[in-house]
Amino acid sequence: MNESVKPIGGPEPSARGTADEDTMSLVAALKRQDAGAFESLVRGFSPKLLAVARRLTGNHEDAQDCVQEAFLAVHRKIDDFEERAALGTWLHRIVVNAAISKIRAGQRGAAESIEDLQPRYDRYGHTVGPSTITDLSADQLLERAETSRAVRKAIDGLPPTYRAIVLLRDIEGYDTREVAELLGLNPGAVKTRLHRARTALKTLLEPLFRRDGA
Amino acid sequence: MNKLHLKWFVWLLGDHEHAGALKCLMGALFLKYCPGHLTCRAFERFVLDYHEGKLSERQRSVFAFHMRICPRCRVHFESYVRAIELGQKLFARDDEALVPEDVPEELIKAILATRASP
Repeated sequence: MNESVKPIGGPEPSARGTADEDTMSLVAALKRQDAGAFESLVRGFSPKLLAVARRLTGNHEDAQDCVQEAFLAVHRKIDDFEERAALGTWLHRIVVNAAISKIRAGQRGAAESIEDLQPRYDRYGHTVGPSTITDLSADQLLERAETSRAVRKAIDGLPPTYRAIVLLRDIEGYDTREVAELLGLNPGAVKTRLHRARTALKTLLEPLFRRDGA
Repeated sequence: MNKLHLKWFVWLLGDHEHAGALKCLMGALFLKYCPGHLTCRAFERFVLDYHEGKLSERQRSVFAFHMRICPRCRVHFESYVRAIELGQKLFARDDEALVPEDVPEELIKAILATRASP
């Protein structure tokens, strides 16, 4: 490994943060086609990128493909990369784009309905559903092992586009306009689908919110 | 409306066998005399914007008033927020727990090999 390049122990605190000195020197070394710098980049950023890709695709093999594609893109396009930009942000976006391509390819012909999980109303037009909720906070609920399993299962069970929208908006921190661009939808459609996806998750997770914890 | 009236009013719309019919009647009266009142269906359309702080002050107060008189819509909204928080906190914990060993060495080698190939 080239001595002039500091190995990076992991991605930037936020993968969407700004460039720091270490990252800038890493980018400079990558532009010099330094093999050690490339390995340092791969080892430093892979865990975070793999996690993002796994979340979006819901599949280990596809996630690994996405990460591989992202680093290949870095290798090919590093000369176009502006050093003042955040490397983590760039990588994150490449992985998200690759994952979305996989999602789109995989959802052809798949049903997109989550109608059964939307709010229901009685004959007077009033909401049907529980009238009490547990006092436990999200952190307290997550202390139970079954909560983590239920949340993962609920998110994985959403149709691919809905899952992608929830993950991009609520977990990866993109705004509505960015999600719309990434998915090729208009912002209104993203808002509608985000709300429907969140409502579906809420319905699926409702048993966890019962006051008796049942 | 004093506190006692409000208490009775909330009870009338509460969780009992005649609540549906009473709410329907009250809803009709509200729509006639308080045009700013929301129905449960209309409430649902504002959930996302309320959660994201995108409603005007007047819209927020109408939304909040509906939650006050309709326990099921209040629980619906609180569950909606709790579901979002659970996803965010769960994945934040996952990210904190990430270690380089989570990445298979074969994947690292495959990526490095891709770069090495012409």
